[in-house]
Amino acid sequence: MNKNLIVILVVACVVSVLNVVAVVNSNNDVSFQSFAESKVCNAQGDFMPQPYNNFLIAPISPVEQSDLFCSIHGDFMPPPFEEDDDEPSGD
Amino acid sequence: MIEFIQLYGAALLRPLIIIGWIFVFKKKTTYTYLTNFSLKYFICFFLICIIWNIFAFSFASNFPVARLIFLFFWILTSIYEFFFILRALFLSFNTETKHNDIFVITLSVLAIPVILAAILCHTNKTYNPVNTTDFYNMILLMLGTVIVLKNLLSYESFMENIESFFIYSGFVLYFGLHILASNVIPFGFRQNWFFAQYATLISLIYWLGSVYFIWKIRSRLSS
Repeated sequence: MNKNLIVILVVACVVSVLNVVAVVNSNNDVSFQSFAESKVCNAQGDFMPQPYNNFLIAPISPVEQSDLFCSIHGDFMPPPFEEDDDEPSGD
Repeated sequence: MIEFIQLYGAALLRPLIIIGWIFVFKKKTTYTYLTNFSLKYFICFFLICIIWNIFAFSFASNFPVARLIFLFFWILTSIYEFFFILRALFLSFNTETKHNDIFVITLSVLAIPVILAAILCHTNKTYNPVNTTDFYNMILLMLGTVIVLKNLLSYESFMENIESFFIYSGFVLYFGLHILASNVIPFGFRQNWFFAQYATLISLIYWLGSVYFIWKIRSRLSS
């Protein structure tokens, strides 16, 4: 029998066991990530189902605040604009 | 406009992609066994997604039914993705026999957490099980797809499998971005909670663009 296929089967078994353990334990997790994910579906799909209890976590920060951050491509992000930057320097 | 693209972009792109890939499929008469399989089942994958979208759109106002529909189609799509990538993986190894027994056992093992997560999600009224399982699924599927791509690139007749290359590289993009999307808070995507939808959208744009490149490559080869 092909060795590669046996490896695939073993990997599938190991990951499935890990998956089941993680799923069962996910209800005991008290982290913020877990709390947030328990309300909002983040799995694949074009139309996301309605969050449970109409709880929607996004956007966490106000939109005006996110406008201050640069999110375009580049290895080093420029520093965010702050309200003080609008004032001219005293030179 | 951005909100419209975020909500309906993926659903609108899917029919366009399916038309494009049917065009690719009909254009050439002879394919390798792997590419023939990949094209047929890739088009079927999109058909399932379109049917899912029709149901989701029809029952969008009825939240309990919409959630059940989501869970049902999520199970169907997840198992179908496992079937697709696993079969491609088996085919790409070029084994002499089909090894259907190992294939069925592996697929059954992979389907257990998917079904369990959907049941727990419905009974506990929490998306945690589905989100967790989806994350594990994506890791496995991406790993499988990368191996399929590696096997494809090592074939001597790579140009014969150019369609498969675009299909599976798109899947690597799709699964990779969904892994990022399933960890929005640790990775600092808090302001983009709907990153999963962008992930799908980016992959769909890639598959749509692939049609053009396949057409150009095939035209150049035939001339």
